Amino acid sequence: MRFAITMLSVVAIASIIGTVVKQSEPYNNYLVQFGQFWFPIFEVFDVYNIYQAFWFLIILLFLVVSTSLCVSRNSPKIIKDISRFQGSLSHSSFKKFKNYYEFSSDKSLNALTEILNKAGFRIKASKDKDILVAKKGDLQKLGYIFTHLAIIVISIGGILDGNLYFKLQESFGFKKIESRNLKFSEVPAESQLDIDNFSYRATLLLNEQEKNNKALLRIKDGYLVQHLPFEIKLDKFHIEHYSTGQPKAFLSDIKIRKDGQEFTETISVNKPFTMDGITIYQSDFQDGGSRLDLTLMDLFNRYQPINLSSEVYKQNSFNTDQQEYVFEFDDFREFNIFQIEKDGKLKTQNIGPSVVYKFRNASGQAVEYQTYQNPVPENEKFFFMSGVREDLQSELKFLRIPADSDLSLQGYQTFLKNIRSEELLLKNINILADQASSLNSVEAKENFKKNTQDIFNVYLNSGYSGLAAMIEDTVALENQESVADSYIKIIYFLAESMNQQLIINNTVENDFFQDALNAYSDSFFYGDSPFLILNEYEKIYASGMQLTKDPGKIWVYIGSLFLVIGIFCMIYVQEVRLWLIRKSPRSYAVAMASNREHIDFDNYCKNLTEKFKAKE
Amino acid sequence: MILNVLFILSILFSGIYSFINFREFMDAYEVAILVFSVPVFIWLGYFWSSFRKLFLAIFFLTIVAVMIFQNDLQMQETNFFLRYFLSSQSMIMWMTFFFPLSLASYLYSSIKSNQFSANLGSNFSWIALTTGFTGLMVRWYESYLISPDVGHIPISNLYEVFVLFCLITGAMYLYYEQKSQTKKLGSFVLIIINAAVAFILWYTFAKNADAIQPLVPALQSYWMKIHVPTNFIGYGAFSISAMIAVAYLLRNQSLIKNILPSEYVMEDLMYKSIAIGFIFFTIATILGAIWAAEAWGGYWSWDPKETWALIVWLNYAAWLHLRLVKGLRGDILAWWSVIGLLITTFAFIGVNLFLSGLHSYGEL
Repeated sequence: MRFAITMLSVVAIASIIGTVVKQSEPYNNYLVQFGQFWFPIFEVFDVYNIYQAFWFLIILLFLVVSTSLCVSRNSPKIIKDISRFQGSLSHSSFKKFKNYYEFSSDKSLNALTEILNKAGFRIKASKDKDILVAKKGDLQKLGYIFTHLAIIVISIGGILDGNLYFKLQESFGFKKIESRNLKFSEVPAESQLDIDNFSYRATLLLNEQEKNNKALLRIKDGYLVQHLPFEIKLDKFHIEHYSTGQPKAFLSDIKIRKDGQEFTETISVNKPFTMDGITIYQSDFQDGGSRLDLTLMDLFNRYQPINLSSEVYKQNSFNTDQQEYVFEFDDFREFNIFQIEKDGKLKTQNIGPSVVYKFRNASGQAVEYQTYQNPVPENEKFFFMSGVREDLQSELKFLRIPADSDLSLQGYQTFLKNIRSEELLLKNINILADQASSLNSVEAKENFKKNTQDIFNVYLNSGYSGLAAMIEDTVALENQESVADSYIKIIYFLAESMNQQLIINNTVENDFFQDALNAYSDSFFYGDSPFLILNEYEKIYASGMQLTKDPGKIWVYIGSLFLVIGIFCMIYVQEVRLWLIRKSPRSYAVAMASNREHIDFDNYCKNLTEKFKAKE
Repeated sequence: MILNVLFILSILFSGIYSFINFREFMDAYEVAILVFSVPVFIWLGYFWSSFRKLFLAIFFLTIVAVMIFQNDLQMQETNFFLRYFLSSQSMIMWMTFFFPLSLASYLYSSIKSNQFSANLGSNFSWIALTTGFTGLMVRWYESYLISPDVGHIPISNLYEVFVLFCLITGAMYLYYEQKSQTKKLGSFVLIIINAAVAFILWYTFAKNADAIQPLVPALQSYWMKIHVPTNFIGYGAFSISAMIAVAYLLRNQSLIKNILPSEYVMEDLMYKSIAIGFIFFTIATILGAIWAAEAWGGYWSWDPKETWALIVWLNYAAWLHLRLVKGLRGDILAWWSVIGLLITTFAFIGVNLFLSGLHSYGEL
């Protein structure tokens, strides 16, 4: 018993460890998390898959065996107890009971027997006519058997559905976990499980229109291939949305083909489909290689926009004068739900598709980008947004390009071309210099032109941060703020006058130049990637399904039912032993005992005695 | 007599009205739950007579609210009664007003041995229950006004289940209060309820968590209607037992010695609430397993929430084992019950805060 409790505690502690250390992650993550020293030590104890660890299963098995022994040892005693009555006691000995009452009553012993019968007592006729021995509540003792049997049955069910069978095959060398990245058809036979495998939880990822009759069983840092008795084809995956844009349902239209017969089904979360003892669940989804039609726009207008047709997961490359760039798409999300402030209230809104991609610079380092197709509303304005981050742990930093009046990027593209045109710059600096009345000498004018051009070029080549650095280096501390102010005004004035055409054509609205100048300045932290303009797309989903075969489930359920009944019996059935003696024709004594004596029991005894006493 | 008739009629009316009007929107299981709940509520009224009054009060307040709403959600902004009393958010705010009042009254009665104040404490708790339950009922209705596909029973996120926790714990406490004929434990049990009230207030005002959100696909199942309330009866009962255990452990302190019920009563209530909690928690865990088998493809996945439920279960199984089989009593069990609440609290909230897993509906 003591050993069993120790083992149970070990199971409890191991279970807790399993909730703290995230289970079944790729082993690389653990290496990063725990370091070179601890990683192999934890691996020996299977901390990364603790619930499937051999030692864990052995302890569980031991607990089942010890519970079984316990039941088989105690049950005969309990059953004997139930079938047998307690011994008759002499009056003097049951006087000592806590619940002992003497009373007088008109009733005969027979009438009292009747009352006891009604109260659910079983009564033993005694040789001595003046003594009654009775008892009730045997179910309480049965509760013990029920609960313990239940735990055994539940455990057996659990073991049936565990991978103990595979573990045995593995330890005898018949099967081996595959950890290389192979196609299903190339996986060696020793890592394949046939149709007859009696329990498993496998996963199957299908692109739309793809089919397969094998599924993947993830184990530790590798996998096995599980053959299925049928072939599954994914026709279509869809997402239904609430009016607010949040997902309402994930559904997969599938076709199951077996022996030339075909069944069409739709599965969704909470609505699986079962066939041949295998239940097919909707478990997750991802992109299945959506087709994308894009334009790449350089943020510094160094090369002409490039058109590109691609697919998600596909690697792309393009050349500019200087070098070759490589990037690959990781994901295409058709729906993005944002919390957007509208009339002072936060509202959820779908703002449309986005692409996620990794862009590699010359040294091969990857930077992640997420770019939204449509402009995102913000304070009654619209911005084209693209986020960038160098490692997956940090937050995305956003580049926000203002949309023009037609909600297109055209305005910004024109703006970009104009501010980078030297000819336009010189022309507008001349205009500015001519307007400035304070410049009365030719020399002053030339000086002003040169300075202004320098300032604008610093901005063009390094943004506001370049200007700030320049001011810090060249201007006395107390003047920095006012100088910065005037520089910004100059840049704004020039940008606006270089883009007169945009204003005349009503292409842009208020604040456009401010936002555009900010966007241009922010382009310097954006990295090498051009801005991706998504022209068209065809969304293709991949649906992740889970296939479960669990013959132990029914036993777990039956065991659970017994567990509840057993607990109920143990807690709520009051076991009572009763002795009643007739001392003289109208005077009685009664004693009652129970294996559990609490307030309720005392009250019960009092009430029962009252019934004995009561007049007809 | 009139009360009994009204009680049964109101239950039958609710059941039959829902059955006739909403049957086409329910699947077979939901119809079964509806039909089954009618005798369960009638039995509850038979088992505990005060429940009849509570039910009738909730019933009439809800009917009035629904009639004022007239199927227009905007009414909660424009109608005076809805805005300040009968809309779900107001009703729940009233609940968070009356539970602290109740605690204050119980405390005052403990300090001054004032019976009137103790009665007041009970009554405030009854009012809190009435407003809180009405709030949940109206919230259920409001969710359908947002949009029929958004509508769902309001026990689907952390805000809603905290309200449910306050209500179930309060109701169970009031039952024990009547049964054991002492109001002396109110000062203790109401503390944990008010801790939950404080959380609700923080969650409402700091996080705007009181907005009705549509259900994620994983929660769209009739199982939620039985799994969640069953679980919270367990949590509520464990909390009550832990608070009584605190009182029990303080019984020899000279300051509060005289304001506690007898040791025997406290010990017995501690046991009774753990016993009922354990049964409901067992059932809830089994129901959870059956639901998991249907939604996630496995009745047991060693998900952190599942694992912690197992730990909680083992903990109270050991507690009951020691008491029932070994006959242990006294301070050890009381301490154990307090520690049990810490484990339960972690299983309830801590898992959502610190561990990631499938049960990620209740993130802060």
